[in-house]
Amino acid sequence: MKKLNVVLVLLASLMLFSAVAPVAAQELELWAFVNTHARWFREQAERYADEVNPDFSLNVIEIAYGDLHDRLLISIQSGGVGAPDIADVEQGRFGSFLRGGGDPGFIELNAFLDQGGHTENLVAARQALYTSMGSVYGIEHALTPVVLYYRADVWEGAGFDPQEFVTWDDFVEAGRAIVAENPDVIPLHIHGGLHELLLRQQGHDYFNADGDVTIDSAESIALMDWLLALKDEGVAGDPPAGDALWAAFKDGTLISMVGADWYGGFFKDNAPELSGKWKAAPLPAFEEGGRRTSVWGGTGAMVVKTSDHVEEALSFLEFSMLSIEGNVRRFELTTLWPPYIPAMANERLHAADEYFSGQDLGALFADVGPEAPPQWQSPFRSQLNGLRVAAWQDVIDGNRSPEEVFTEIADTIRDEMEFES
Amino acid sequence: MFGRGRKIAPYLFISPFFIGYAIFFLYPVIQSLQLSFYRQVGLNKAPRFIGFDNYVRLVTKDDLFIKALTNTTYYALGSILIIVPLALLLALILHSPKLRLREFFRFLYFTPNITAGVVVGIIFGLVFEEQYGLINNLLLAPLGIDNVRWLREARWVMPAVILLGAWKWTGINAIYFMVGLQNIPPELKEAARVDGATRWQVFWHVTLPLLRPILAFVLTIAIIGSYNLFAEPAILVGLEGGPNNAGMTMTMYLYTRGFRELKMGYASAIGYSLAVIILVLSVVQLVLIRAFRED
Repeated sequence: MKKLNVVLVLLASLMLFSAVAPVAAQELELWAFVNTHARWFREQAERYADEVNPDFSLNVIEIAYGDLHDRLLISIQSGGVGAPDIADVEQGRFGSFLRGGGDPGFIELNAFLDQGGHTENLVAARQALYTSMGSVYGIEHALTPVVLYYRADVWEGAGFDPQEFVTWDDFVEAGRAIVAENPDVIPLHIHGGLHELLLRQQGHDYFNADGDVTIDSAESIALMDWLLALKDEGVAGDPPAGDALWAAFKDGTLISMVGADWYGGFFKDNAPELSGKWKAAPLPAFEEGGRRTSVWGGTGAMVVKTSDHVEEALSFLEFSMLSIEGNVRRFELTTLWPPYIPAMANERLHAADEYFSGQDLGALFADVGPEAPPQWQSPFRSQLNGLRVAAWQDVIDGNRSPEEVFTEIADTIRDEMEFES
Repeated sequence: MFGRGRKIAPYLFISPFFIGYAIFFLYPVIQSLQLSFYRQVGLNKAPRFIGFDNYVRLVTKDDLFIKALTNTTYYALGSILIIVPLALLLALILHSPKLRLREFFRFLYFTPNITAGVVVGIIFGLVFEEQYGLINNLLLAPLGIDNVRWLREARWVMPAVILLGAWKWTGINAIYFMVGLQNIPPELKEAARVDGATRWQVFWHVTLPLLRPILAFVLTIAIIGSYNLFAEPAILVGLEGGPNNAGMTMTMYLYTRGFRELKMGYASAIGYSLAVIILVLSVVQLVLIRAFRED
């Protein structure tokens, strides 16, 4: 009995000590799925610790795209076990958090954004991606304006200047001439997001503003038919996947990329040896006077509800994501064009970019940015993308028609919506 | 007081296992059985009882579930018809006393097994790559065979996964068979040889029947392993199973429905269907090779 008492006293004192032990530093955890974002967050955290809170430290953890969202969903579902304080959530996967119409597990930011005067400083069409039934849950990293990245040496060497292209017809004509000279080259490669972003360039999307699925619209089917026709004549092609994609960029098979602002950072990270060979131009329009850009991707920073440091997390996000310095620095590190309006006019966004042949990429993004089309969120986006990815190769290979596949996907999603309603 | 304490003590000592088992195994098993009769979607929605609706939908309306089942069965057949005989052949070779560097080869064939599935998946993704990959460039191109679109064309996805499976699992199964071979008394074979049996007859009538318990074990593990296949195809072609979902296995389907689309009730029903399938197949297989026979 005596021994037991001793043990109990020891235990009790241990608990007491741990309870009064001072919290030395505030360490927050942040999950990101691209190294460009992680790099910027780490730098911002250091700056925040220097300028605002010396006790602050941020543990930035890089997790692969699929895993990050899966793990985050699971930890939020299990009441925040192992969840970070702040997380980057990609717009294509945010829908999964809204599935079933419940609370997505993130801090609602409306009051925070309104009080700080930030709401009107952020591009509303981008914030819509992280908004559900009036509640805002994320702060967008990038405006994601889509441009035409191209190998200046190849196109200009063949006598074409993509800056002069006005419509896609101009692009296709030049592409034909290049392929006639060198049949191994793919002027336009049909990457997984191309159809989606070109559809938005035309003002349509896979879901409309009311949340109805529209991937089987006449415009969507016609656009895919057009891409497949280009593939048949050799102007467009099917790029390799994964790391082999970068091999194809490096060996000169792929000579263009229809991609968003963030793709600029991807180029620098994955193909540094092509520095000085690339340039970027506004997207060719579908008809003269038409829209010269689109949007593709986008990621929102969110504060997880179960965090013990919500105030500090919000304060850090305000410092980094809602400041001119933070936004400008992000562009310098990652080529993400700020969705934060006060930062857009900053002259540091207009520095000559060595990778892009000394071009002022900022001027291009600023030029096309205001035309960026809206994009609508849906709880079913992620599932639709899963179905589309699975059927994609059959469509590209011509085994099944776009009409058949898109109709099937849309019907499946409509059936799901009904099953869950 | 003391007498009672002594009676409790043994139970206290073995209790950690049972507590762990109850919390981490029994509770989820029962909870998910219950959940499989509910519709629960999303993060914060209350589950709603729907009886057998999930199961009915799985079997009658869900083409993707049927596809996952077919894909998984395809892999299981491949692994049983290719990997198991291959492992037996390898075991017979490694068992031969004439073989030099036997220990080295045993080690070599065992290493794939202790390599993490994710690492294997990433490396084989490069091996199967159509333009730049090892197989197309180094093995098929010299034979004059055109590039095979391993991970791009639906019909090649499962053969690629089976090839990977053969690489990974043949070695460990061969080791199981070798243990079995070592336990067969040499006198039996000698007696058969003395009676004039050919090598083949010795194998067929002496070695193979005596390997039956090992065969039963290997086949059961192969079936369970096949129906639980996840990491390799998930890394090779992605969690949606790649082109036309050709690489989607049942566990991948369960994972995506449950943890990506947050349909916990539906995913539970998939899990229970999977458990029933494995149970039935294992019993059928054990009966077929007469593993329960007492001779």
